[in-house]
Amino acid sequence: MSKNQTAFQERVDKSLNDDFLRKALVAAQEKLRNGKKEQSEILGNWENWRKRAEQIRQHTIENLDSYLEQFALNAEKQGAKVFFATDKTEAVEYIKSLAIQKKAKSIVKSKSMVSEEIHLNQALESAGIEVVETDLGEYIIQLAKETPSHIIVPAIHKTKEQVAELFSKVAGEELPADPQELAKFARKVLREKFLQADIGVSGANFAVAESGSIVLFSNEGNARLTTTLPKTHVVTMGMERIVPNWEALDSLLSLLPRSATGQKITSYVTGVTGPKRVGDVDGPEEMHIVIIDNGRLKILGTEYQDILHCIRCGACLNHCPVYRHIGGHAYGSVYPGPIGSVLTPLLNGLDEWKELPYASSLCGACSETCPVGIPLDNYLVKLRRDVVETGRASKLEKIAFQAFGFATGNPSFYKLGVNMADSALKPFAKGERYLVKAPFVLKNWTKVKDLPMPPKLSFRQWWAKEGEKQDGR
Amino acid sequence: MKASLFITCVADVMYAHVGESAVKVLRSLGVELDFPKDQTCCGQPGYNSGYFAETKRSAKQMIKTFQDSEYVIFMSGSCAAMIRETYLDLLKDEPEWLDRAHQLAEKTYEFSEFLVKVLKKTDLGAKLNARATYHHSCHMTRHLQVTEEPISLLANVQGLDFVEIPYKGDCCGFGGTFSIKMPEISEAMVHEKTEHVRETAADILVGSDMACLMNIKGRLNRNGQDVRVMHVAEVLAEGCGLI
Amino acid sequence: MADREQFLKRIADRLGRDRRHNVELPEFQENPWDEMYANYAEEDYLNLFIENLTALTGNALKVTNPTELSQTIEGIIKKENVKTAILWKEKRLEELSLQQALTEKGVFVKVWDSALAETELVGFAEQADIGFTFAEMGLAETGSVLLYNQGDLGRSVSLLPRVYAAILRKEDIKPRVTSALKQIREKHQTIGLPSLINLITGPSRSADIEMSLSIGVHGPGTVYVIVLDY
Repeated sequence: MSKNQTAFQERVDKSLNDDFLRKALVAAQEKLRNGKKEQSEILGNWENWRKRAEQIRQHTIENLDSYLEQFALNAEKQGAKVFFATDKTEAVEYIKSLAIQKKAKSIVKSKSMVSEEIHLNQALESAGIEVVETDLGEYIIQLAKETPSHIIVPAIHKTKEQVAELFSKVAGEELPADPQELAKFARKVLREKFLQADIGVSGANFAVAESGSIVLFSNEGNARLTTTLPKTHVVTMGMERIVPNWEALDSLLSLLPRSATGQKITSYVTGVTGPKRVGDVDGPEEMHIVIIDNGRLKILGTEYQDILHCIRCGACLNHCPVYRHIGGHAYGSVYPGPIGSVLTPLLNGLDEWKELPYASSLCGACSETCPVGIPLDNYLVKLRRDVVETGRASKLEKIAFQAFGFATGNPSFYKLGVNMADSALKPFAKGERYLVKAPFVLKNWTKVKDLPMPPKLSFRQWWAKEGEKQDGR
Repeated sequence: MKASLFITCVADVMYAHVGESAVKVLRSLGVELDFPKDQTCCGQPGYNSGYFAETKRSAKQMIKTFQDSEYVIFMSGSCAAMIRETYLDLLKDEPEWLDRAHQLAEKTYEFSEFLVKVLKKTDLGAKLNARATYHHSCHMTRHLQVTEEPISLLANVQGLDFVEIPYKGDCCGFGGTFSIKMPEISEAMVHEKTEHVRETAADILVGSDMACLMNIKGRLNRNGQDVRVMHVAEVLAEGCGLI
Repeated sequence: MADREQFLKRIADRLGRDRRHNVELPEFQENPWDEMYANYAEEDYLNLFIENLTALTGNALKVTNPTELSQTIEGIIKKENVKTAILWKEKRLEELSLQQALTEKGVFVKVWDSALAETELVGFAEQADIGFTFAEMGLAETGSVLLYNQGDLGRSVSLLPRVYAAILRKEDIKPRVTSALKQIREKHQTIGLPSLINLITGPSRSADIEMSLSIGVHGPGTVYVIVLDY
């Protein structure tokens, strides 16, 4: 067993034994997937919308170089600075140098998953700069020194009591375990941070190529404050977040909130086009857009290219039965759930992440729900193929499936196996119709379920004996 | 009407009764059924585990075996999906085999699908007094897209009190090797499924995929829940007094 | 620049072709939204707008004459206990005599005059009870209002105070976001876009703590949209 597998199994076990987490995940999925279902029915012709969104994403990715070029030129026309970062080191260095140059003491952040990919917070903190996450869920997990467990609701694994405890430490007094009161407290504390911060770091839900604009979706308003109050605005965006023009945003704007939470639209959709202009009063004086590759480039031109269509709505997480039982932390990566199980090995390699594609029963709920038509379950199987064909599968498994290939290609051997199954398992059945303790790999089954004892005659034996002749021919 | 039966590896080893039921039901509907003896496994276990080369061997054997059949009736929705969807992707670089795979896909039908779409039968005059629910297996629903046919067959069984299972789209947790490789997660999923079965208060859980039913039954037993699992074919065979 | 071109060239290489420039999205013959709200009248859009904003705990109030407007504003002042207000410096708000209406009721008003210092204006907005803007467009499907922020139309006015009020003309209520995006695109293609565009739908919200809804987490917790139906 590789070190990671043990670590993964440990995390899975921990999650499975966390009663609160499991209840919270069931409740969250209930709300979020019912919300999506309801909204998709109200919207009507959901498939047409999906198709359009997929077309736009596909066209964009296929022409990514042109659109990124167009985006950068247009953003610069409006006074933004654009930096293309190949990897996390380049991205972090740019932002850190900027922060040091600005003599920044405090930075506020609105949600950016790519900023977690590049470990931005740690790098800035090590330079002695305070970094404050302002999205309520991200603020909570920052205080808890944890990673997000869901793309949309990052602190879903935390009880209100745990949140109260965290906030009470900040407050210096005991706060009630009441979500609304705790949110009020966060508003107060973070409002101060917004007003004092030197730099605001945001992500970008979409970057509009035709005007060089960034579009941010938020419900809380922290993205607006982050991009208005501090003097410098930094955008961290994955290079695939481009949309060709404003009208093309329609299907994505219509599908993302509905798919994510069952809302028709987020409270705020904010379009930022450059820093403040001459004559503007509020707004940042400088805007720096950091466009990040960090492994996305090598996915282009492969059979996995469509994974770059992802708009980070989280619908796949909300529909995944595996995610429902183990939550985000078990995956151990920035992106959990079906999207994470595909994207993480693709971005970061199979060596460290080869377990993730197997954390799925291949039920296909993810692919079915994805608003941009990513064949997630197909990609999971293909990644398993990659594990096998790059020699990363266990020797035992390889032998077993070589035998499988042989047997299924050779009927006489296959028949032998089928007809012998009952005798092979008989000793373990102890005369019962069901086994409660099967041998070898099957013991994993009987640990939690009964296994039927094969009947004396396999179907083909019955057919040869009786079935074939039954109609008297 | 001539047709061949594909029994599936699970039913062949574990559920001969399902095959027997299917044979009796199909014959009662005038189908001249044969069982090509060289059939093995559709290859799903290999494919789902990423062993594509090995799976191709299974696929080619399958194609050869059913070369001359007019129809092939599958006792599992996921196996039918394997042929109709996956074989066409798997063999895309071997044009000759791809051609033959297409031909097989065109005559591949899941059991309920065959009864309803080809034989145009939904009411066999079956009678069975019981409260029943149905497990919509993932591959049959999402890949084969056959959902209505089994339900319409059950709806016409006199005396059968049918109730839909809550969260019917949720996976039972089998996932082939998933149930062995990730047994704790699989357990959580199948346990949830058995709770939904409990909520229906059904005596019988009907399905079209014996692997799923084997998985759920295993947990029902372990929970002490007295629920029978049956393939649609078994319900019809018993309901028509054929078995 | 060399680094940038290298970055982009690598993308083209991975996609198995030469570099492309100035690619545009092809026109689509039909769209998923084409038939939506096709048979609706202006009155229907208004009703839908009110329904959707109300469902989000926003307050959608229709006024049919200047007296009603004045009464509505008085109602808001009383209900929200407004002592201070910040307004866009905007012609249409001036035409409505909004500042006077507020001052008469004892509210201390500041107008976002871009000649004033940022610290003064932001500081005031931060403490203000209410912020007033005009809205370019309303969206019936969602109960949203569209704002273009620049110069005298400060970003902070609709963001920092605890209450936000938008004034919207009934005839500017369009079916859905398609209309907003079309207008934004046209604006970009003609006079250019302001530094900040906002589409605001109801109050600020979060369900991050145990999926329990909290209103007014960072942005305004109370939203009014006053629809002018005259």
